[in-house]
Amino acid sequence: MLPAAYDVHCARLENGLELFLLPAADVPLVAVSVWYRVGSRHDPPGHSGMAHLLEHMLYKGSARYPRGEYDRRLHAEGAVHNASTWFDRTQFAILLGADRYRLALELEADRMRGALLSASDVRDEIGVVLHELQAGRDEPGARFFEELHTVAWPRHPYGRPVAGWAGEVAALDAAALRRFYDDHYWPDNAYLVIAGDFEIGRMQADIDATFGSIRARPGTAGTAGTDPATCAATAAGPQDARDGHAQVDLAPGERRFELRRVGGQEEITFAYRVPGRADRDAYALDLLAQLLGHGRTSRLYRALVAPGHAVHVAAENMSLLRDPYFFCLDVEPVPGVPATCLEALVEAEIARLGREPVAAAELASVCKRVRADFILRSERLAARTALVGELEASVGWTYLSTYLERLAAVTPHELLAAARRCLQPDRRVIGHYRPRPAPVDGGQ
Amino acid sequence: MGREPYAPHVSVVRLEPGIDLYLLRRRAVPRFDLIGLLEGGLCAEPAEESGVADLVLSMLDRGTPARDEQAIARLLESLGAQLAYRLTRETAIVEVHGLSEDLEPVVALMGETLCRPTFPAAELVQAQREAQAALREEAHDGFERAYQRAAARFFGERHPYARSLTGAAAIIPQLGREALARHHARTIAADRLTLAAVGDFDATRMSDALNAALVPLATRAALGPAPLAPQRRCKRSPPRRQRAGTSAGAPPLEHVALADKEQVDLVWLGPGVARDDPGFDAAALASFLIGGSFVSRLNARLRDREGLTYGAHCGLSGGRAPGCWYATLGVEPAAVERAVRLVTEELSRFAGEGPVEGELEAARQHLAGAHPLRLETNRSLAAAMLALVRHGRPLTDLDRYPERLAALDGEAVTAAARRMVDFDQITVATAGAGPAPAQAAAASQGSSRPARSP
Repeated sequence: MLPAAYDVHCARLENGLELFLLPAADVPLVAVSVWYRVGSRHDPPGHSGMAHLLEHMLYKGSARYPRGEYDRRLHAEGAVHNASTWFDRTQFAILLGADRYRLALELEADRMRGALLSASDVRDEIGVVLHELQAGRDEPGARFFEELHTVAWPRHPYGRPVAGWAGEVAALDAAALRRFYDDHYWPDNAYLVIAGDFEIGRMQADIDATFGSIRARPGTAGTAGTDPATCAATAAGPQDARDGHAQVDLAPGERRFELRRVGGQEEITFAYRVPGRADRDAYALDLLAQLLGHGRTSRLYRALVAPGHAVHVAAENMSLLRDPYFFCLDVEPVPGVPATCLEALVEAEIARLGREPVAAAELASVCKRVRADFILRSERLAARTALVGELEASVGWTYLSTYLERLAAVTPHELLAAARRCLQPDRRVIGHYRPRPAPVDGGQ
Repeated sequence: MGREPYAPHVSVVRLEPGIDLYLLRRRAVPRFDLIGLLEGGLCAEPAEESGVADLVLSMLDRGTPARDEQAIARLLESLGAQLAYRLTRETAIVEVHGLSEDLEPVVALMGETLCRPTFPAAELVQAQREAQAALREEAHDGFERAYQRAAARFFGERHPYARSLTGAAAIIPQLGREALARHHARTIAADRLTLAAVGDFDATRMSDALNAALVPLATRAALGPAPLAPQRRCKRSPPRRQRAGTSAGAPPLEHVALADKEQVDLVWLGPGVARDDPGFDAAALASFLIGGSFVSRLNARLRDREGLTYGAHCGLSGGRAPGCWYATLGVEPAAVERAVRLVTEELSRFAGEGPVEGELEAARQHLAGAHPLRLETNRSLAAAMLALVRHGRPLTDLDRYPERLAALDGEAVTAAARRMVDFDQITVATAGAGPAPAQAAAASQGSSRPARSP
């Protein structure tokens, strides 16, 4: 049973902007998030980082709100705001007092079509993004993650860093950003997810007053009507027809890479390239991740950590995207334990999952844990909007309404079958991060 | 609960072992959050046993007379609940959360692990491995390394505000079960514990569960007040300027070179202000104005105007002790000198002139507006209640924080800034790419001190 916190009221403006409203009077706050169906997968070839740089630039002012005014107004109200770019989408989120949410709507509506994107601001902001990239490269974990994507998805946009390659980012310009903005930032390519202490009718009226006058993308008609039944699970379809569609490379064959840098922990990652969220195996993979690598009772903990071969293990089904992505197992070896030994132990546990049905009690425990985690996480308004927003960007928000039931219905044999289908050696990338000693004069 | 004030709904129960429990019911999500503050923390750890306090906490849920580590984990994980212990400079914290339907078994397990740990030898080996892994991470973290270097100079290396919370790599392997049991005995007692619980539960149900869970503490002798951090020896240098805000020279600089880094993290430490100090609110507001947000002085100058950094940040580390005020940012190696000069200029200007017209009002308005955001979750409300109680503030401050802010004027904020921005005490350290930037100190205006190499 889905918690009441996820009672979603949906509607659509005439310009095509979709609304997902989650009213809740628990705290005097409102979380407003605007999601655009554009992410780094839409970066033009040779211009990686375009979507991410544009996200930064959309804080740099409009005719109505000059540079700095957006921050100043939100800051004055005590709001917390942030933005993020990911492979399939870009989102802008604001959390603020319930009596002030109208300001968030006004600013976001202005951002949708009003950005100035001046050449000098673009030049300055490229500098800030290059700092961000530089800071990321200083983190061995971030470098490793970047390399993992490059190796796993060499011909798919998921193989490029979301924030772009530094050389390409440095060459981006205002004219290209303007074209990108004009291609993607329209009400019929966006949706609002809002949770918190508001009255639905009033909120809809406020949204209509702020976003309603923005016209739909030229050449499209928007979508008339506000029938809730018409606005379910629309994310993957129309977008594919526009752009950003890419062939997914699931060609068989195990791939390996090694990264050596100073600092950080040795780590071995087994990243299985698994189907997207819409696939029937997604539920089973969520459970398999819990079973393998969550907590001290997990199978990998008992096989690797308890006997003293590894310091930490973790597992996650990261597949919450439109296209196939990763099911990851991470192992941090105890210094001196050979990687071959750890690989054999991981292999044995994966093989066991494909050979022996999971005991009913173990499955029941894992199901309860996922359910509890789901409910516990729903406490934060921003967590609610994030979950609904991410699902809408990948498989459609209605996935949520049956998630817990379908998870509870997964049988031991379905788990076994999913493990056999998805956790095959020839679907995986094995990455090995090996810290190298600091140079003698390295100061460590 | 919605838009009603919180404080009138908080109840206080004295549990049988003599522990105060603060309770607030919130029904929105069927979960409960329980936090316990144990006085002591790193301040209760002898420097020669550096690491024992953290190891004790990480071992509490790895064995009791009734359950081994796997049985404890099985119970918690089968309920999807979480039990965590962590260390701060002045306290040890226990945090528990779970579904309301599972309150009793989870609270019972918290009591069992807190009061009757057995510190199994095999688990101690694993906990020591985890601690060493954490230290290896810290060793390559630019901010951590710069902060530690600055703190060692500012407080002295053995001071609890300077030592690593995780401990010392050379000492951790030598800490046996006896050392852990000894530390547990000298730090865990009813008279050092305060609890707060927020969530969807009945008050009687929570207090009954805790009374049952904490029975072993009722028979333990009181330990008396926990030790506080010793006073920092104030190392003043020959003055480099006449007074705050005028022709300040950059403070002395120390650098930790880290290989495979492209950036340099910079950390400034200055005198802090204790939470119980009447000047704390003004100091927190001054720190916020200097570097507490993206529109603060440091970010307006170094991020927005100069494009030197992705972001700067300031904060206060103190509790019952003053601790320190700190500022930090990351820049590319070639920009270190400029960053030091610009931060010095901004700090001097703020301490000299105080906030300009409208700046203080905007910050007050922001903080008042942000206040309900900070109380969004059960956990944050429970933590706020405990912080108020710990520092002698009334619980009505949960709802009246904006009034406290309104009482602060520019004069108070400027005075607080001058306490923190004292260039004769401020220490700066850098860590990251490149060799020691000796040129940074040499280039700084009016500095009479040479740069130090690591």
